[in-house]
Amino acid sequence: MGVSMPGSGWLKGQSNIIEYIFMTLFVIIMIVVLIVFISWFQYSQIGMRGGNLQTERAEFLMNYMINSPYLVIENSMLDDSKLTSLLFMDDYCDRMDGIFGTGWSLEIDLLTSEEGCYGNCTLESYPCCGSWTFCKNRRDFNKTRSYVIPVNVFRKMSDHVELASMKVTLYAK
Amino acid sequence: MIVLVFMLILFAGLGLFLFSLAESVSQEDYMDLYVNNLLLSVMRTDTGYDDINCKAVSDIVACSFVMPDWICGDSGMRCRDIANQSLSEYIGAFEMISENYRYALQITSQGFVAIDPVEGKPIELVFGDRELVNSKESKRTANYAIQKRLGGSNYNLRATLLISRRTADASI
Repeated sequence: MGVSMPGSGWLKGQSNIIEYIFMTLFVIIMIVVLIVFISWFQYSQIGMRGGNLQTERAEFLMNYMINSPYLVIENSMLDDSKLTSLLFMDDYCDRMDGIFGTGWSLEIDLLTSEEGCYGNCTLESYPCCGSWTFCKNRRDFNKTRSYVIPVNVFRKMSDHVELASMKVTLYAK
Repeated sequence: MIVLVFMLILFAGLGLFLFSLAESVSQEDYMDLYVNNLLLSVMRTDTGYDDINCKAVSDIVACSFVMPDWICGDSGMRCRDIANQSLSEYIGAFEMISENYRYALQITSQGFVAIDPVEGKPIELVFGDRELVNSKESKRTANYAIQKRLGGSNYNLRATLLISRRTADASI
């Protein structure tokens, strides 16, 4: 009692300062980590939200195409004559952009063909063709994602139902 | 020390809270659309036979169930063989399915029981990976109703397509 070690007050003061510095550093590091984590979290969330929005957009586009009376004879069965005639409408891409927005393309490719017709459809090649491409290779866009669904194509001239794939590609500026 | 522990708990809690709000990539609706359209499209595709019992895939599937030994046109092939061949070819034509998924197409009767004359049991017709029907792994399904008039009688059948990812741990 009443006896103190020489320099113990100085040592205690020094350890308090070290503890204070250590705590301050720790808090700063944690705040930096938190900022980095929240930034990364926000960035990844925006990416995921963007991906989901693109999927929703592709679904809307595909659902529209497989149900539109201008293109199908029944649900998910596209009419080859309607598809071919669409290719020869003036500014059909700009008109369809009004419904779907810009930055998309559509490809329909036959997977079966009784007549063995798989080539690109044009006014000259129809009806012996099996591939329809709409609004592809438009400038100033980069490809982002593609979505494929199975569909049928009704061959009006031969009265056959063929299996086909419908591919929607979305682009971004 | 207590402050340190308290702060660590606080940050961990904040991290968990943020993760609970996290949005994940969802392709549920797209996959449903894909599987339903796959079954619908395959069933309506013409097989190339003019025989009324073998014209579309749904016809040969119904024929396989009700009259499995029926010979399609001049091919010399039975309904069931053509159904097996066509389904494998048509479903396999889609890369996403052939590369990443297993599939099974189960055909069941609706409102009647078809008995196998040889085995004396109800007919159970499965195309593709039969093990998938009874497996407990997560599957995605689509249904298609087939109504056919064969041999003077009406038949209602249900085709159920089951697909599952090839890797067991992956979600479908």
